[in-house]
Amino acid sequence: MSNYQGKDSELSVRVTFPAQAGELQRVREVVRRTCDECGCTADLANDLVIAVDEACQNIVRHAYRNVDDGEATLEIFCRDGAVEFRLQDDAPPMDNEKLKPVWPKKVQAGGLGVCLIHDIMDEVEHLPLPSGQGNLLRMVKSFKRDPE
Amino acid sequence: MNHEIIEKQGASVVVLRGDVDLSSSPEARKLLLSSIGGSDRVLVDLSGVTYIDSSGVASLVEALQASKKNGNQFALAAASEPTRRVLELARLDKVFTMYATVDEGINAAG
Repeated sequence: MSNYQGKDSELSVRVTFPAQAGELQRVREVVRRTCDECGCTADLANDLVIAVDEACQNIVRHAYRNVDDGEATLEIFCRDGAVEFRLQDDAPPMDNEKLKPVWPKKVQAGGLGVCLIHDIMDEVEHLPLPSGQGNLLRMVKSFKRDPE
Repeated sequence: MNHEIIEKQGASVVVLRGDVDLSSSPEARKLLLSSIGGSDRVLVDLSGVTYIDSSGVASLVEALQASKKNGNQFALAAASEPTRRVLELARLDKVFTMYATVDEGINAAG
């Protein structure tokens, strides 16, 4: 379990959004823009958009299942050679077992989101919140800065 | 997302454009399954897809499985870079029959 707390000085963006499918395009734009500003290459930024989008989807589809007015907050911390995403919701705590990557043994529709997140990111942690309610997903990707 | 269906040389070409994501993948799924029900040969033109997530990929997988069950031909064509990348990450790039262009797909399936 990590005790890492992103420093305020490293916080590039914080966005709170309704946990609804129609909001995810806006979140993707924020992630892409911030990754560009952090010095990620375009290819890496594209991959990180995929991973964060899948994490947001899990909140919309699973964490807030049967909840129409849930919200989530995404924070992005830019550090030297790494970008960290912290995605928090107020939904009932997720089962950690369901957040482990298990590649399907045969071709099937579904079950890929968590696997994509783990494949793209270097670190993925589901952290309990002190209040006992909600989920915090911490994802970190290290990278070499885009020379341009 | 928007779409178009073009009948060409006996094949239904389903053209998807824009983001195929959680909000639009139910529409994509319905469209693809409907096309498979109405044509023996379905080719999905992905050149205009700007983003596709796992729910969009699931729609393609479901269509592929339905086509196999029905004995239809189902293939992808002209996959945009974002589509190609997600299929690769999802380890599905070898699962689908993929053509570089729509014309190549039509000619190969003919």
